[in-house]
Amino acid sequence: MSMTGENLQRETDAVTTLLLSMGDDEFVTGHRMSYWVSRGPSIEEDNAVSSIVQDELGHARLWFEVLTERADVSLVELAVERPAERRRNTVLAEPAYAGFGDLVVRNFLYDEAERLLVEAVHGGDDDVLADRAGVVLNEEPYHREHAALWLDRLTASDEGVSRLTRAFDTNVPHATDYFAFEESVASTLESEGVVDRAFDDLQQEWADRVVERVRTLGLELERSPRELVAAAPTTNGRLGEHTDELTAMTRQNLTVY
Amino acid sequence: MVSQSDFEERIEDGVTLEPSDELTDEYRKLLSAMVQFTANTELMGAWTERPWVPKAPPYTHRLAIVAKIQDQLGHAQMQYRLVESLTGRSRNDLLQDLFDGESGFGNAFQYTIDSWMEYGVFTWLIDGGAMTLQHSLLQSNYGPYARVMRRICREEEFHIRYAGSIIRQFGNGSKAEREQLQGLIDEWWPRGMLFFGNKDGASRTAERMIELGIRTKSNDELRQDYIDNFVPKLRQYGLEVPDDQLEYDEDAGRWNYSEPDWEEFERNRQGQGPVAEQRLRSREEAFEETQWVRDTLGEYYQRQQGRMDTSSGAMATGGD
Amino acid sequence: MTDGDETYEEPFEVFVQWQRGKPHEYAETVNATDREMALVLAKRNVDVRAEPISIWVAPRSAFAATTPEDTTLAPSTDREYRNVAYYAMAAKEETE
Repeated sequence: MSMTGENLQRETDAVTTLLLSMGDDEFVTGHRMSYWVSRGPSIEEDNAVSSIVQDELGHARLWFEVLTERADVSLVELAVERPAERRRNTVLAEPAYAGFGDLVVRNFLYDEAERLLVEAVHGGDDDVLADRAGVVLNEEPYHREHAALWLDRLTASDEGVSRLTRAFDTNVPHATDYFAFEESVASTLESEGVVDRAFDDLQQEWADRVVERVRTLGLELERSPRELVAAAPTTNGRLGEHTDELTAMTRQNLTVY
Repeated sequence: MVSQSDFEERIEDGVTLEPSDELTDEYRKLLSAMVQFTANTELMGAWTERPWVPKAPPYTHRLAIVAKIQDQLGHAQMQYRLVESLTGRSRNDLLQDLFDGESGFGNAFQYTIDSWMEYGVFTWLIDGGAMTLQHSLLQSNYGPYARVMRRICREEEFHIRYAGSIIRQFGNGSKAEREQLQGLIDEWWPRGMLFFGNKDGASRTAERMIELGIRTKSNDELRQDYIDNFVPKLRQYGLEVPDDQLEYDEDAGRWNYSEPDWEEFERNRQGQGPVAEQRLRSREEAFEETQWVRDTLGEYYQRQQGRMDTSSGAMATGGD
Repeated sequence: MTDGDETYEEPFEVFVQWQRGKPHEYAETVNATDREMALVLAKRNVDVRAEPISIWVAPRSAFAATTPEDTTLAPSTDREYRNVAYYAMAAKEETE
């Protein structure tokens, strides 16, 4: 099947949507995190972040390249040139990080969700995707370790608790679009066995983990965590709804020759 | 405290000094000042290059730059760590020295980089300078420093090759690109020449460090190595060295070149390069924004220490 | 030399096994608040291109070490009796 870039972007093929979603997730996250290389609390920590950034950008390429191999579209077109309205990433990834606490909490929320989705793809029947999912899964544990490391330590001060609390308050509502794929896309992926678990299932497990983590951290959010994780997303990146931050980001992403 | 004469005898014997060896105050001071400067330079290098991650042509270039920055951060970390061990001062003390202007950073990171091509030229010439210096430090008689240099040199090789790939791309490009490239070489070559510090004899410091075995080559000797390295490479890409007095003196066995701009050198040495102050201030700001994290870690650390048995005993001097 | 007055981190020595069959060797020193942090950071602060097999970390304060003044690391009395060369020489003399 030969597809042009134009077709690709209009294509409602479920696998394509999934690949664009995961690719955009990683690319936007990697881009936002790259700003933070050299802005961390220590040089040792900066080194760790720079490694994570390379992972994210590398994963984005892994997902996008399934499409560049199948259609007449380039990595540059998919990763860099696609305008915001054609993107399929979770809105969680869109804003610049507001600070180190924000970075750590967003990473936690994102990494937990990503693990569940990628594991479901890894266990699925699409061999090409499952294979790449395996590659991603090898590198992800470090991201989770890293986020956990900081979450566990930043609660040691009142200021840390306050910042983490605010970060959860702000970001959990932005993360609820992660599994909220369009109905027909989700059911196609499930029925064709591309994912070995239902999206609703994955969403529930993610929600449980987040609630549990907030509890073990001893944080008191503005609204009940249960409410937050269950609320429908107000802006759904999976449906192509995005924020101004993403538009600004895609415009900045241009080479200066 | 070891006597100066005993110490210098050990140095003449070619002993490699290790953290457990007694050093004279002079040796310790000269070594730590130099290593602190090079650590600052790596740190500011990473800061200077980071904006190019999203501006570089996608896709592999962006990854390569992040990897390069990771290396530079590692080089900064290793060198700061060494100074911490040598002086007993903390990482934050050393960073504060940088922000306060007590300890400087390389001249080359005090200029703007306005285009992708310029990024290539800057990386090529300046990492080339760094490589020249770092290779000579492999023979430093301070064991931990020589060992750090081994890893730094390995990683620097990747930086040079990577930069070379950018030069090659434009060197083989259109006439307009080649002209633009030459223009950038014209601009950055003098900065590369200033990378190696003052000319020999201008200050005793470099000379003294060679006498003590900390360094093995003088600034002018390094400049010679630098020219040796780049002249054939420039020719290979059809580029000219922008110095009409550059010529190899067969009898003397060295290159003659026009006198570098020592006034510019002095300005940079005092952190007065075009964007030095701006970069330093923004780096300091970033550092201050995470003070709450370090403070929070302090509370965490105190709790851990409170819970642990503290056993006293002879402390090792450590790996670095 | 102990580090300065910092009360939130200390140096951790990092040892890396680069190949199976080879011992761990000292690679770097990283500043960290505790062992777990040191290990997580060490994973990305060593020469990552060389793909380590195993990494150990321990705080500098955990180490005890000899000093250069310790003369007892090399004996000054005759220890020929425990060297191979001594017995090889003796065997050779016997056959002559």
